[in-house]
Amino acid sequence: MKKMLAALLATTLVVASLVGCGSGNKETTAAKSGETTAESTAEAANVDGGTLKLSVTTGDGSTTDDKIPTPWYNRIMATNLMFRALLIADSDLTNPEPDLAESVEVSEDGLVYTIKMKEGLKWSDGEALTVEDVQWSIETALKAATCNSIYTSAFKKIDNMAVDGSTITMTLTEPYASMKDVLAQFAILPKHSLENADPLTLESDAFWTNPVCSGMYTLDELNVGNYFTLKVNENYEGTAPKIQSIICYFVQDYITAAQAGQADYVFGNAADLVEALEAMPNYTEHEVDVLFYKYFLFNMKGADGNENEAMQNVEVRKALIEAIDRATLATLYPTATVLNSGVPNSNEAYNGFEYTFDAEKAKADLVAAGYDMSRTLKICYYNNDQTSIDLIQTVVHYLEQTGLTVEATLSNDGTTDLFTTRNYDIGFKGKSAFSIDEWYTEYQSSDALFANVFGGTDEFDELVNNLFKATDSAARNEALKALQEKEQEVVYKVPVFTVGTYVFTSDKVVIPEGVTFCNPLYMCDLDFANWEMAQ
Amino acid sequence: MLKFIIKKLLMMIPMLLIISFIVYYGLQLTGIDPINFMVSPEMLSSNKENVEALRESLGLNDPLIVQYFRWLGNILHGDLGYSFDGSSIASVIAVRLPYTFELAGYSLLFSTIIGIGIGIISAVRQNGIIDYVGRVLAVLGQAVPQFLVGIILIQVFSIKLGWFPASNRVSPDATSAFADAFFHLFLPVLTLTIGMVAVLMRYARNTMLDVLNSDYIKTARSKGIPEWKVYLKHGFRNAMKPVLVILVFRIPALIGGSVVIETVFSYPGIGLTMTNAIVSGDYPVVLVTTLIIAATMLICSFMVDVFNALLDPRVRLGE
Repeated sequence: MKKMLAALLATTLVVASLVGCGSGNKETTAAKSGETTAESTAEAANVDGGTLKLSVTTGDGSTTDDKIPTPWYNRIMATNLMFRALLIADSDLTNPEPDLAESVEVSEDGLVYTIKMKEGLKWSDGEALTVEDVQWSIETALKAATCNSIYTSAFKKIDNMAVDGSTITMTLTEPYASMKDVLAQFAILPKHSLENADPLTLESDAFWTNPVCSGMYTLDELNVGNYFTLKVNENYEGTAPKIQSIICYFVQDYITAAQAGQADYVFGNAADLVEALEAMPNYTEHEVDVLFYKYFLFNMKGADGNENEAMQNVEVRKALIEAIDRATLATLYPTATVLNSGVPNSNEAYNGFEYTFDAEKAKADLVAAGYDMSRTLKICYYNNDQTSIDLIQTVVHYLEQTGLTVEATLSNDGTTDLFTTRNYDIGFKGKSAFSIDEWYTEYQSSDALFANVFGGTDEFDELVNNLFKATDSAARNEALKALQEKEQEVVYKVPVFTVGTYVFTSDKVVIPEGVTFCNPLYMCDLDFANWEMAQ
Repeated sequence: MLKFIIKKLLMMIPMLLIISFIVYYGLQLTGIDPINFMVSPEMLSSNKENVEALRESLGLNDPLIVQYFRWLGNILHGDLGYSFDGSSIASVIAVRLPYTFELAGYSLLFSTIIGIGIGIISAVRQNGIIDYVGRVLAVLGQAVPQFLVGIILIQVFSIKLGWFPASNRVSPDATSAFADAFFHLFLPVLTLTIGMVAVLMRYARNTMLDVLNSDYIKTARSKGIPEWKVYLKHGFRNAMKPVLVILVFRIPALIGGSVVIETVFSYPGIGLTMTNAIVSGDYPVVLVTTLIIAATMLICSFMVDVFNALLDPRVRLGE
């Protein structure tokens, strides 16, 4: 028996010492900043071309790991480097500068866009990249099933397109203020490779196993289930990148990939990911200004006639929000900013209104509004990460403090349960928005999903159209203020907060000074050609 | 015997049909709409026509029974269909299944050698150090969930020590295919092996002890047969028959375990494919992968029956 105990002790010591050997020093994490600094670049004085490592998860828009994810849904670092747009935005996803285009001119009435393409552009297979590709891409995006709605919303406003030499002229039916910002995200795809593909299943075409690219990199190798590698695109006409190759591993989670050295660039907003990466001394954290809304919506009335009378009284809806301490909920996330409308409090268009937390008043208001306190209030949510579960449990606690009986259900298919089944009173949802405009499009009567819970009324339509048409900041602020007043009056949905998103870069990569990261699901100018790998 | 085997094989056909229908019907009962996983919520809001066209083109508007028999008919014609993201399921399976066989095969091999080896030594050297350590490890191996073992191994050997990769099966910069396979397979195989060894070790030990205490072993010893010959020729051979049955019976558990382990290690086999398909609501892939796993289980069950029949003539007599 003594021998056995000695053997077990020895085994334990060996394992413990092995773990201890590899634990290394854990000093500090670099400063939280969206912009890279001289300090972060100077740390690695010795640099070379090298290989950048990225990781791709199923959450990045690829449901299987046997093809390159389409850039028409979410844009990720790998596809940003493979597919370019006509323009390229700054870190706010605005103020676009020419990329594939040489110039873009907009008529005074905001209806005519004249886009002149650069001369001599080529796809990675040597074919010429022309305005024909631009026209085909825009037309096909309107027919595609998998396409980010920021594109379809904008392109629906195009009345006609005319091609003349290297110039394409788009005429809109009405002004669309953010058209150039949208064009700065929209990847132009090669007509000659995809014109025979079915737009409904375009993202699954064989093209994506060996795509023809316009960016500074092109596909080198795709190993199904394991990785894909990128090499420098010889036909790229811009500044050649210093990094010579990129490996993109297909992984299940970013944390393990980062810990195992498979990711030099990681992004996310989940508390566990941020905390884990912050604890790793070899990663620099960059906080990114992103509109990631977390919000409540009320199931009131469907366009199909299916009604939930309990939530149709606006006083009940206001009282329920009054019963929840949203500021405390925000503390569950590393960085969350409480909101009172779709417009962040820091925005000059914010109208200053605040939802207050007052449990006693909420209880009195519910009674005064004639709410049946004996019924069970149902909450539906679909994010199954621990932070979301904790958040909903806290919400249940707050509501129970007002004397309500509350039942929270975690849905496997949020879209179906929130907008089709609709067996709930309050839904909890997230939305990573391209701009504030996206928050307000959900109020439009034409929104097929939200019409099923908001009743499909047209009371917001004109206000939202005014926002789309506002081409100067004064008109835009005015439109946003009108929308805020309306949404705070009707309380169909209430934002809880926006969640901060973070980009983490490893100390193996040297990023040029002054680069500011943008929403990682979109594309902006990151001066990637000057990124280098530390030796 | 041939009649017995044919009968067992024929019985597998209706069982597979029943399983396929239950899985098909069960997936429908979940209420999950695959369109929601194929198309963004924003697109669902703004482009109803395209979404409806996609639904129609995939046959999702047809009655359940029509969808099921269309799918079954295609399967019987060798057409496994396409995943909702457009990949040919046959090509998906062709790439992934060998990876899973590789993982399960090595695990089976090593767990058999190690489990039976330690079990036999534990029985022969009862209450010795190997017996004690083996019994402790057997309890640990059965008590600790496999996914937890996998996570611990990744944390220690991949992240802390950096000896083995934490995920995937192939490296882009590999110089030797053998070394690449060894390094990628080591941890997932070890994880599956630990669980299997625990069961086999206990069973081999107990069976060997029973055999060693039987009268014919005592008779052999009394005849003066060398001890090693008693263990190998009389003890081992007789003890192994029921152990082999258990071994075959554990293969389905190995396949089930590989679903979890492949997910933990991002190992691109059939298990990870099934997990991703479930998460993304990809019915066609879930159906085919489930059917493959069910078929594997039935084949193993069939092999157990055949083994039993070979070892025990009463099984055939009772048919």
